[in-house]
Amino acid sequence: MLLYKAFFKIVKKNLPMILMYVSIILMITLISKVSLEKSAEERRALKYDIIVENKDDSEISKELCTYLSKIHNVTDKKLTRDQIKEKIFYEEILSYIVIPKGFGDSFETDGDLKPESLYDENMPVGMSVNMQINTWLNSVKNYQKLGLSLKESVEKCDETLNPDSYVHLETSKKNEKSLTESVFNYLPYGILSAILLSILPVFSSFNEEKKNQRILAAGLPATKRNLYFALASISLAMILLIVFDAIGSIAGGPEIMFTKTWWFVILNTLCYVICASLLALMISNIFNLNNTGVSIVTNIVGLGFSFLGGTFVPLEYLGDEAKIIGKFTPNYWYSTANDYIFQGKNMSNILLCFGLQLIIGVALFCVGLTVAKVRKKA
Amino acid sequence: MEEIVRVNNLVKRYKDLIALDNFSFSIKKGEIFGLLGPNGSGKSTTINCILSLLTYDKGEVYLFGEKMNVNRNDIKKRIGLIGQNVAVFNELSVYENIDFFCGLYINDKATRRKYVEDALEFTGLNDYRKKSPKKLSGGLIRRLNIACGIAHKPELIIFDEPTVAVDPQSRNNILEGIKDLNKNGATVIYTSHYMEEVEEICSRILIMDKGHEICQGTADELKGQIKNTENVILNVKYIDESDLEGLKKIHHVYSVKYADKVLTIRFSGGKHNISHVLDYISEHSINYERIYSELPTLNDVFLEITGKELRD
Ligand SMILES: Nc1ncnc2c1ncn2[C@@H]1O[C@H](COP(=O)(O)OP(=O)(O)OP(=O)(O)O)[C@@H](O)[C@H]1O
Ligand SMILES: [Mg+2]
Repeated sequence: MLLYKAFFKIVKKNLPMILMYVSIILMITLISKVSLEKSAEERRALKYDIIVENKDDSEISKELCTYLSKIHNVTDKKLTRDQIKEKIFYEEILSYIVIPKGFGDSFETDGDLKPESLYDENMPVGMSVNMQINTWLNSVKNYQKLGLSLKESVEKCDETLNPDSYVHLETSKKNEKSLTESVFNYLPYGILSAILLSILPVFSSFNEEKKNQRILAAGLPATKRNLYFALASISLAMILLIVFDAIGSIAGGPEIMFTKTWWFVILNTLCYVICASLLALMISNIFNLNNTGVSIVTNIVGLGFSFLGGTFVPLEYLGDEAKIIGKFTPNYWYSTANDYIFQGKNMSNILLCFGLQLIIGVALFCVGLTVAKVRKKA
Repeated sequence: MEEIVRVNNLVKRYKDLIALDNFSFSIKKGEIFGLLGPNGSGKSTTINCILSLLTYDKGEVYLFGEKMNVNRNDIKKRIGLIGQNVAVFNELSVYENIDFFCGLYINDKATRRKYVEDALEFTGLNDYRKKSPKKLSGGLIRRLNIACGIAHKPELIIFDEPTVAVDPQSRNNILEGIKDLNKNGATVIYTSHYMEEVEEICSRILIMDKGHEICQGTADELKGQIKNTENVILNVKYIDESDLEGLKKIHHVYSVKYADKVLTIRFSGGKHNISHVLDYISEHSINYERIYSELPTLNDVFLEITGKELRD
């Protein structure tokens, strides 16, 4: 108990620094959340309520209606001029569009007859719907000039024009899901830094030669000491795990909690925490660090692993060389597992990534033990 | 009297260097045993071998009548070590430090609490109990270092140069404390290269050099072994070579040395030696600033046996 308590008293001394890394993760979470919400809002703002009155029944006028209903909220009520004015005044709709009779014929010939658009002159956004219509019509015409049929031209326009509306819709769906995914992807940075910052100072303090000698002189068996430190390290790792998983889970919202995905994500962080703790033990076996040393190592290892292992930059953006080195970091396999979990890949792939993290951890730990042993002999 | 420490023919090599060369001695219960020697003579090495903190090449160590080895944690529990360097946790407060090191020996919480209080009281650190060691002065941190080593009330306490870089006031404090510990029943090993300290507190002294014993006994016994009985010392700005020869001819003088404007005249036996020197000086009109007579010190013992000064 004595050693266990002393362990945590020393950890407590470094609490401000550890909390700093917790707050970095909190900040990242908040920033991701705010930016996601903002872009969702922007997208929503792009979609207006409009009324389209189609007096023509040509193919092109129908296609135009379809197009508009894809990018805006369209109703096709027929209203009187006064009613229209009222609705526009109270901002129930942005604009009222009338496709005049004979528009289809005109489109194929001179193009003089254009859809008419009514909107509040004081609200310039009203113009934008007009512009969207013109752009679309021009594009369709241009594709037709290239020899495409009307249907083909419209399809081409769907692909090329207004990519924001389509792409946005898709990515927005993906992003909303991935707030959890991206927050959990950032966690290793916080976890690793916090674990290094809490474990390394304790071990370097106890391993300091003079103190170590004093403790040896007191006849404390090495096995007892190692046992208590192992227990303390595990408790510490679990506390940090709970803190970081809580941040990730709260960001994900109650929907994600206790789902299958969530359990996998939690298991992934558990594997990572184990590996990070073993790494910390390896470092403290090899180096005798002072306070400055601890923060230097924490920064180098924390940032290095995070960049190489896809914690900061998505794995697909990493260069080939970086990827090869990255594979030796637990972060790489953590990120891969995280991707797999949210893509719903099958279990064996995910479990393999878990296993690789643990293997890296054990390997690092063994390296540390060997170095310590060799040094003791010399 | 019970023998607390017995060291037999200890040999310790660091590669080519022989740090301990067939070193033997024994300490009886209740002694303050002084281990005096110049820097690098092997004092710390001896301590570390006694406690099995170092492996040695030859020899045996018996503590409390039992053979000591690295696994004898039961024996280690009866000893307190105050090392040459301060070894405390900067992350823990004064109280927590003493409590931690005491806790390595004493499991019972109530006993421990009492012992820690006793140690705080004993070292005069009561007012600093909540402070971080980083904020303590040099003298106070030495006292903390001592408190951590004695809180568990050990039967044998080993001090390895506890007064290095300590101001005179704290030094006296520490020396008085060691005497008190001894009065309360602890056997003490005290290593130092300060002869005055050793002379002041030790009941028996072993002078060592280059890993082996030069001589041992009480301070008086040691001084009795040498021919030197008195030194007359003068501060002189200038003196002729012929006068140095002249001084040598005074009865009982066996050595005259002039260095750094200090003239040292050594006598072996004789009475009123200083007045004979004064007679010579006034006869030859030698100017001096100060003259005094001194009884031999342990330094003279060391000098006479090894031919070099204890302090470099
Ligand atoms: N780890 C070591 N490796 C090599 N040589 C060592 C080592 N430790 C001590 N020595 C040498 O052994 C000799 C005895 O050293 P020791 O520290 O015992 O001296 P000491 O009497 O305690 O001196 P001091 O008064 O300076 O503390 C010295 O010559 C020292 O250089
Ligand atoms: Mg020493």
